[in-house]
Amino acid sequence: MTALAIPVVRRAVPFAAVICLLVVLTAILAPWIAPYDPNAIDPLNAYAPFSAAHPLGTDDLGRDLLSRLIHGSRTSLAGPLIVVVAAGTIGATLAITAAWFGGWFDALMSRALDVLFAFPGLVLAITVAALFGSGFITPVVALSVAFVPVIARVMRAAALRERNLPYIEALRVQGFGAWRICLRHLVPNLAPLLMVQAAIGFGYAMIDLASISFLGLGLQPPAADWGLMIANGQPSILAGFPQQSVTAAVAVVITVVAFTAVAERLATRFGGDVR
Amino acid sequence: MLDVRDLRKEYRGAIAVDGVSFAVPAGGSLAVVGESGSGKTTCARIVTGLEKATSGTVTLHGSVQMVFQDPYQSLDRRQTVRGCLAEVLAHHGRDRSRLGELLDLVGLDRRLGDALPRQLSGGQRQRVAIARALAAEPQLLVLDEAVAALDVSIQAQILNLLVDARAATGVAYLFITHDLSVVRHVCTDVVVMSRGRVVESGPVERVLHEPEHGYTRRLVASVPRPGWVPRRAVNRD
Repeated sequence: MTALAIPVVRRAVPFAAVICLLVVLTAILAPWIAPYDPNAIDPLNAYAPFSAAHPLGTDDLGRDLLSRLIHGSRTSLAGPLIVVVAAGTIGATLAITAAWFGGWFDALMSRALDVLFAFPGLVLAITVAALFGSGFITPVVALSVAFVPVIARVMRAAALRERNLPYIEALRVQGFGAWRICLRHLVPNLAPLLMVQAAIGFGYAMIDLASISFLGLGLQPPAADWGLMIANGQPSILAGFPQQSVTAAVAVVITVVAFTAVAERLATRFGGDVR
Repeated sequence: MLDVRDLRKEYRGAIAVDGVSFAVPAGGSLAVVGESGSGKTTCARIVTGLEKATSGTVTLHGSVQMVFQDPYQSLDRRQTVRGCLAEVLAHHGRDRSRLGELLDLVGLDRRLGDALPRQLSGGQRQRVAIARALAAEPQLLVLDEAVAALDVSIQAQILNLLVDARAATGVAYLFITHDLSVVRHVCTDVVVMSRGRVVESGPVERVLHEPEHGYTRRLVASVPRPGWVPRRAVNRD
């Protein structure tokens, strides 16, 4: 059962789509819509409460939280986006290749993916980040690798079903080559399912990357990143100023829920469509 | 034009086709009849190159195309009728202007060119599949249970279309079917297969009216004829 089984959630899907659009626009337009420089320090104005000048207040260094939240949307969205695009491309390529050639190649690929699948993605990403250094790229690459089997398993099953439909044989009898059949017929027919898989993966990737940032293995201060903001706001919570952690956490939750709701709606629309 | 000699196909020890020979002359039409599992579809797939024979030879002078049983899945669901035919015409270096002629040949309204498969009926889809096969101007067309998935009234239309298309293009047919009643409309000769072997062959009229083999006699007897009355209707009186 998905969240969409709940009527309220189902009706909220258009609303979620609008939120997704707003978040994406915010990320693209960040430098133009943020009221302040996200890194401009103003110690005299630290821990400012909500006001017209600072709608979400300021953090321990007096930086405008709204501006940091707006700028933070960039890395917070770019990370998961890179993960799902990379994992989707690699996963779909492996899946279609395995389904097309079958036999020992498919068996080998499936077992290899099973092994990778058994390894928790977040643990893999944390380990890699700890070994090869923190930053933006390392956790994103590690998480991309971890997401490949998730997408490849679903896509392989779909590609196998698709590959065995008579229209593929009709194209082979027509004399079309494997490349052309895969690129012009298999890929376009599998694309809707791949998009859905990527959209669902996006939410998970976002939570994982925020967790990695929270643990201090992702982006480093003074970068404005939602996961990092949640972590950096911790001491302030004890000081009685929870705005930073809370607003960043709310941004992560709202974005993940909105993207996942839209993705699940797409899944019910395109996910099982084979004919 | 097509000459199949001593064809043999084994799947992991099971014998699907066991020494089958038949021939189709240029422009001819041969039916291969048999029940499920008789090996007739395997023969068709070997002739079109979709499968390799374990032993035996297939000699073909010219090109071959195939029409499949299931019209619902033998077309790419994302491709319009026009897109499907244009792709095949371009691949075989034929002029795109033949598209309209092809639609006319298979009796499809030219306005259906922009339709997707899901917008077409089973019969219409099978017409598209036949047009796609004929687009390559093959010398041989293999029809694998091409009307089996269609309603009886649609079957008749497609069978008539096949007769007309053969007359118009001179293509030869290898007509694979389990249904003897459709054979005489389309074919001049017939090969009867059972358990991977040819049990009888000859002109359709002779084989249907004076079957020599017991298996053929049972097949012929199982076909409803004009005047045939369902037993329950008789009992009601």
